[in-house]
Amino acid sequence: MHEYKIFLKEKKQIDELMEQGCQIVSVKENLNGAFVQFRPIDEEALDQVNTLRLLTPDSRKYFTNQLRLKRQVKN
Amino acid sequence: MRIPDTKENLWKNFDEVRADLKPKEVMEEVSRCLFCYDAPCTKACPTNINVPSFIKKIASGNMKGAAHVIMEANPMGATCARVCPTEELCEGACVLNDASLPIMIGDLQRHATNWAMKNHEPLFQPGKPNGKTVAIVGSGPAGLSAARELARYGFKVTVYEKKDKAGGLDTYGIVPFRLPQAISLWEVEQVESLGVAIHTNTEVGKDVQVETLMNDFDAVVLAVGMSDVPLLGIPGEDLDGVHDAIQFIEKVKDGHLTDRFIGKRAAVIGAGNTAIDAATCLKRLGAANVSMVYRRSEAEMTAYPFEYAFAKQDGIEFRWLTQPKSFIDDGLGHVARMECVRMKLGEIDASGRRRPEKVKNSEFYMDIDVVVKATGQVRYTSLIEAFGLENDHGIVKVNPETYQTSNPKVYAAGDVIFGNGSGEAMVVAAAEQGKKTARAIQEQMLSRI
Amino acid sequence: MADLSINFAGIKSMNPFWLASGPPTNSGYQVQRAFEAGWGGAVWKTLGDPIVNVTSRFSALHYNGQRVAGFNNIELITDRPLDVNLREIAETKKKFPKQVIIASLMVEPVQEKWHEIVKKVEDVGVDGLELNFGCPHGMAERGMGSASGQVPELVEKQTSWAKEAAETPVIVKLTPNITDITATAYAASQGGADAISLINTINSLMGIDLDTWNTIPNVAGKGTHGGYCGPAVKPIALSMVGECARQTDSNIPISGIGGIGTWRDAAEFMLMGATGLQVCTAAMHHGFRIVEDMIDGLNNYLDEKGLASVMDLVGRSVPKYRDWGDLDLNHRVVARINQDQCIHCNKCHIACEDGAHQCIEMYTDKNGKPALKVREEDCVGCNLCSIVCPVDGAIDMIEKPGEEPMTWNERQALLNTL
Repeated sequence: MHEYKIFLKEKKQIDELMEQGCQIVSVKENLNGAFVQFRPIDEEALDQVNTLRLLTPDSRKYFTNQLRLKRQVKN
Repeated sequence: MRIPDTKENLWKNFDEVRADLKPKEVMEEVSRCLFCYDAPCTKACPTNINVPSFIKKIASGNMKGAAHVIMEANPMGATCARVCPTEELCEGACVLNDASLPIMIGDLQRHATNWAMKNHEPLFQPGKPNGKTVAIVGSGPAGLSAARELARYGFKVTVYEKKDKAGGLDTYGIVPFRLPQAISLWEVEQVESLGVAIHTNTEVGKDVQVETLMNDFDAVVLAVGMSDVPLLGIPGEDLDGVHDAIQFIEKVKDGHLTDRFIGKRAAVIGAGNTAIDAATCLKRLGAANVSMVYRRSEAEMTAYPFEYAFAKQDGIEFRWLTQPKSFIDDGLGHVARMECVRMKLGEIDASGRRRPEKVKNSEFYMDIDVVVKATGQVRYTSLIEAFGLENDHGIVKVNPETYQTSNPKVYAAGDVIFGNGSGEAMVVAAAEQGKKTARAIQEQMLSRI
Repeated sequence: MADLSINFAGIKSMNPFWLASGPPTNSGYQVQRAFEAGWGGAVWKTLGDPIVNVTSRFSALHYNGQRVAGFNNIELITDRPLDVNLREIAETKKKFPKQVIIASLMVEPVQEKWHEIVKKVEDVGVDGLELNFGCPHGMAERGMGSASGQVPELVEKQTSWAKEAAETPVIVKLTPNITDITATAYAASQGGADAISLINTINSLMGIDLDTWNTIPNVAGKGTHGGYCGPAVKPIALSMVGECARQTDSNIPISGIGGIGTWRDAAEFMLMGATGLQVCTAAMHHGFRIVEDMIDGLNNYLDEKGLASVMDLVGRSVPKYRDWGDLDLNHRVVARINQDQCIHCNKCHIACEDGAHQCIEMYTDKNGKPALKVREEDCVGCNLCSIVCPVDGAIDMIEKPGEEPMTWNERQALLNTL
């Protein structure tokens, strides 16, 4: 089992969305994983919502750390 | 060991040298075993006994299971517990060698098989009869091991043994203070209990013809081992007091202890494990002094280091670089002196060891009353020829995968296929070959159905 | 030489090592031998209405050839009349005025009964009282011991009854046979207890004889549950001590009990908040002489740490004992195998493969030798491999640089802002 590979895939998805200027707007965690909603900061593209379903615990840590980082930058 | 002075107290010297582990020793030892995964001890065992498994079973109190694990992998498991050079095999591979002390695997194996001997629990059942028959010539470790496995596969097995008792080397050739005869005979019983017929006092080629075997059985396994010590080819070899080590040990092992060696001066010719067995037996029979006479030096001797150490502990003397030239009688037909010549080591010979060469004018005499020759064993060449098998000076050629000889109906295992110059054959190796031979026969026969 | 003396709820003791109430403190003869051996105090075997005992009474868990990993008893409180015990307490106290004697008490949950026994034992000069609300067997069926110790109201009430009559400090001994020990610890302090001691023994059945199908131990073919103690219970005791010690609403002194057998165990209990210590099973296993190394070892340890007094240890680890939600999720360690120490038993491989995250690979190195390697990216740092590894130093858990710390509580708070 190489769970790390799944994490890398999920991390890449998160990074790509972040690089595209998306921010995390909601997180729903349930029995099936973490469902993280990304939306562009850009006002014109507000209707383009991307939801990632994250399976690995490392990804669940990762997006939280990214979220905090963004907050710190903002403040 | 005490120096015996009467026949009565000779016996004590032939009790097993190494004591059984005490129950607390067993518990401490099994608790120390790490239960390695993919364990090197198992890989180092020629029969691949699952050592961690049987040790764990002793620890859990599953003694029958422990004995089963051992005997399943090695039908000579009780013998091997006592005679295996464990420091070169399982114990030598134990990972604890690097951390503390290796587990006493041989002694634990002995503990488990002792339980089986004492409790008479049947460990194995014969297989469903498959209608096929196999004759096995020789009931030593290779033959018995093949017989046990074939019986479990469902073959009808008949074993021919020329001696009075079955077991071969284990019954007759290993000194009793290392391996009591009862251990070997228990292993024979285990094989017989699976319905294997063992005809003792029946020599193939004499009491039963080779042709009969070839006609009456679906397969034949030749597991006759090796024979007596070769003649030295020097004058006086026929004198009284000059013995063959194989025959000498056989008598001791069979319980024929004599008081006629008490106080005698003895010489053993050779320095292999058999020579050491003969020397230590002589000492235990009361010989005043025992010298081992070897034409090469200490470095070339083939005995295991622990055997050599054991001999030194018994007070055996070593005459290195010495070769007997003739035995001289006392005028009454009994050996009294041995003429020897000193040797020196020359160039490397075919065996990879330095060739011993005579030192000119170095002859000298040793006063001796007993000589035991232990310079190797001759082969049963005529029997092998009678089967018409390809061989190299009595070493039967086999396919290393199938143990089939030049006659596909005849298989061979044990010392009879054991080559020159690669040390001494081990019981455990013979047992494994017997197992593999049985498996090969099973596979061949099944593929024909 | 550090100062090993303690002040436990006002009771001064030359060292923190007391014998717990139990078979070793059954008589003056034993307690006096213990004091000669160096014990700082003894909690006398529980006094109350004399009972009768059964035979046999003890049993033990032996593990891989090691005797007494755990210990179980179905013995009750003292079976000797109170006046005999009191006479021996007085005599012992006279011979050993510097050593601490605590009277362990157990009577029916009746106010007068508590008043009566407290007065009687204080009259012979004990240094303190320990209320036995803990024994899980026998006495509990008569409404005493853990039967009362499991009901916070009863703990509080009986403590206050004892306190009404007591002039010496009152220690309440708690039973671990309860879901949350802090509830009864709180009740004890509400009842006015000066200190608590924990843990008493844990409900247990040692085993079944596979030949007779009798319980172990058995009394004429029948058995009953007993109280479990000894090395095996130490982690349970330590956690319960820690739970009580980290309660912010109470600073009640704690006497730590449960599997203490060496100075190391002692130091751990003190670091986790115990001011005093009580020992029973180890003394039953090896005799009173074990206290010598407890004292010597603790002394050397304090010197090595540069601490002048054993009291400096008390509670130092308590702030480190937290709720799971306070642990840093970003902290990361991984296993690393030191090839030069590894003996190739492959225990780490099979443990990881079957019991953890399948990240230790067996391979053959360039010299053809077997070797093991951790795939660090898949290692979750669970410690299993280093736990099963039989060679100290062969597997290290290496800290890996990670993100800034973030606890679960912080993470949830962050997500709640969305």
